[in-house]
Amino acid sequence: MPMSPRDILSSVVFYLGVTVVTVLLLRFGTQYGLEKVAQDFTRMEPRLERGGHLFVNKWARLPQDLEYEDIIMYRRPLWKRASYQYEFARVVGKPGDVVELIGSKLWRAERREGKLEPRQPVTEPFLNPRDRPADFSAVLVPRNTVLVMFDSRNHREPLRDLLIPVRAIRGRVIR
Amino acid sequence: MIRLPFRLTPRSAIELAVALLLAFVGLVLILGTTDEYKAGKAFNLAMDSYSAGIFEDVYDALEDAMRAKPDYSAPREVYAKLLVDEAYAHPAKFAEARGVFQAIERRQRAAQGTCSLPVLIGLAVTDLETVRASNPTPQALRAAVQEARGRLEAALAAYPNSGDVHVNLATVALLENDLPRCRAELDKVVEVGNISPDALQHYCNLQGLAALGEGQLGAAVTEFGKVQEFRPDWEVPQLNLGAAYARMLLAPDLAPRAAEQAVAALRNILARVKKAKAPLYARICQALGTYYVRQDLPADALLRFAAAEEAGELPWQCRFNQAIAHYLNAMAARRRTPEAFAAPAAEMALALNNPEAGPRDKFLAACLLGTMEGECGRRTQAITHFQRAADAAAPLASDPFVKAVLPTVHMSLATLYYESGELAKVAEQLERAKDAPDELAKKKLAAFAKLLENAPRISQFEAKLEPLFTEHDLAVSATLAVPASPKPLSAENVALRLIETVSNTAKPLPFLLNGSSLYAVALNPPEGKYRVELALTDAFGARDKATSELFEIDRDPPRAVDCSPAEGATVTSLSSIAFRLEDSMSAVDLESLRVMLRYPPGSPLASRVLVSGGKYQFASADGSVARNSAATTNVRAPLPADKLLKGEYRVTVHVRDSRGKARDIEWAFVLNP
Repeated sequence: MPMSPRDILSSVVFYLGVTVVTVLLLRFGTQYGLEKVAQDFTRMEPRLERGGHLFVNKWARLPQDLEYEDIIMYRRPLWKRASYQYEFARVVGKPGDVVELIGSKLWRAERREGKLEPRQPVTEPFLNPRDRPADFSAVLVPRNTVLVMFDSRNHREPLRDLLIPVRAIRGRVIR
Repeated sequence: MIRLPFRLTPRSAIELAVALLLAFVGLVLILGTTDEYKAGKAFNLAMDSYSAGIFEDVYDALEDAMRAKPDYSAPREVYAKLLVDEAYAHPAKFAEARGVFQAIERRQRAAQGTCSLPVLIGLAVTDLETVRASNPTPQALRAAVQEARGRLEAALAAYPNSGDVHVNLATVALLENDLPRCRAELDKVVEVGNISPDALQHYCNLQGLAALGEGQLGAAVTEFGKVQEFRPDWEVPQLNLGAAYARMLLAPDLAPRAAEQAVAALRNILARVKKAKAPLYARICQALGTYYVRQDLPADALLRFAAAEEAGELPWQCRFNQAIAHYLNAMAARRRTPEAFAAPAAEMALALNNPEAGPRDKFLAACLLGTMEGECGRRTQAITHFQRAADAAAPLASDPFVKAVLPTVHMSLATLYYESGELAKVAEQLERAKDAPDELAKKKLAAFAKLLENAPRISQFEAKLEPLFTEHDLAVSATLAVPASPKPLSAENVALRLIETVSNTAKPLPFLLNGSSLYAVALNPPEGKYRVELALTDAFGARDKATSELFEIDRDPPRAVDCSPAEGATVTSLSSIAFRLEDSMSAVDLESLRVMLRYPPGSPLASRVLVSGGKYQFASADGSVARNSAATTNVRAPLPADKLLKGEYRVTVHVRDSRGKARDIEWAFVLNP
């Protein structure tokens, strides 16, 4: 029996609807995810509580998608694609920036449109004022990398652990 | 005609056709990208293994990636980079790495007409390192560096925003010893801001080296520390850090806290580099040894120098410092003997004649030689060395160390001249030493000058007549002090004279010195008027003098001379008795004079007192002598108008001198009218 134009139209509408719904679901599922903070991860307290759940925008992985003070989720070890754990830290430097820690105070020279701006102190109200991490002198953040620091700064990790390559970043935490 | 086992409606047929078409397209796409997928997966695995430092897996994964897609450049570039990394440990591999890079370059130029940045940089690096690995002549090395610079500048022209090229250009500038250019390239890295994570550690290392070259040791240490944070297993920053700390430790104006930190860091580095048998081990030991010498810790310094000596031959500066440590050690152990000083003195003497030694080293060597000779009591040699040091200091007038030490040299010379009695030179050396910048040295100098200004001093001087063995003995005592004199008080410093004032003659009086006490006795000196004179002279010729009161030694009472009539004489007439009274030392006490004339037997009177209490008892017939007039030393005692019989007359004179010594004089004469 030949298909009537109405049947053809309804089939097209049906398949289009299924496709749109599938795309939307896929889009949402790949962009956002519910992640759980590990029970032993204390470095971002009190902002991120141990064992708490949070939404992560997994499409925001590149430095241009991130803003200063954004909390990112990345895998540790940085090079492993299996058997890794998630860690969370705050972005304090983007590629090309020059960041330094002087007297436990963060100073940053931001790069805007390829030009390095003058160095400015960074206000970080979320820090514990009693924390006194070891200083580091000016670090030029390499390309495809972001410089992160934890909110809890009672001690400082080596610089190699603070430079997070883009390929290890899993997304930006939505707060 | 194909017969399908089922019937298709037109709608199903359209759907099946669309599905088959999509499946075909998908199959084509999947099959077409299999190699890319495999290559990409293998490359990712390689990069993960590289990050984890599992290099065996890196090579395997890279081979898989290259096999899956032979025209895929990235794994080949990484493979070549791994070869370069490996070649730093085995320089023969630089040539292999260069071959790989050249192959990639040819492939890329053939495919795209251009070449990727890593390949351009890799070619420049491998070319240069291949030449460096072959022990080239300086000219060949310069040419290779120049060629590398050319290649890198060409790469920069193709990729102007690459910080990695600037990092490599900074390395080349460092090889050319062009520090400003190196610094400029490093500044450009920040300006460009585009640097790979791998290049970051090299960038920081270069920052440290540039700071080290510019003498900013603190900045250098910070940068090398940063490199260690980026890559803890990399040996180069550790060695550089060691070199930076070693240089920091030898900096003249290092704060004590910084020095402690540097020593602690060097001890850590020392343990690592000893294990690695790096040539830096000897250098760090030398630096630590030199530091310990400066800190006056000679035993630690000697240990470090011994370790450095085991690792290799010591340069002359270290042998020199080792000799100083030996000297300090001997001084600390109070072994100030020629045997203990023999080895350091020999090394110092070598340094003095070493053409490589600078004037400052020679100055120091001469100073220490002078000190050692002085400690061994060889005053002449010590003076020679100190004089040499003083001469060597002339062109080093602006050197703060020399400026600080030179007054001590002059002070030592002054002391040595003082001890050797060349006192004219003492003042000269003290005058030169007056610019002492150190408060302690100034105090010493002032004390020395004050000591020299102290005059000799005589106190508690006493000279008196005492009946020691005889009635007229002279005892002299005094307390003497010669504070400025380099030697203890001796008889050379003292002159004691007994001056007879009447005849104005002097003779030395023997004396006894017991420490600072002087004692002298003149037994029974001749009669006379005396004065004792004591003179004390120190080594500088300063004098103190003490003179006693005048005192007399008078043993004899007065005597009568020129008696008239004389003893035993026979006279025809007698009107007076005359004589002269004399006393050699003191005056005659005329008030005690009594003259009596005894008449001969048968006379009506037995005797007559002519003078009593110094007064004549009878007037003379001619009136020249009145009764009761005072007698003088020229006594002329008139007789009374008695009838004088023939016979022997006796005159008795009693007289005393002013000191109470009395005498009775008696003589007789005959009257025969």
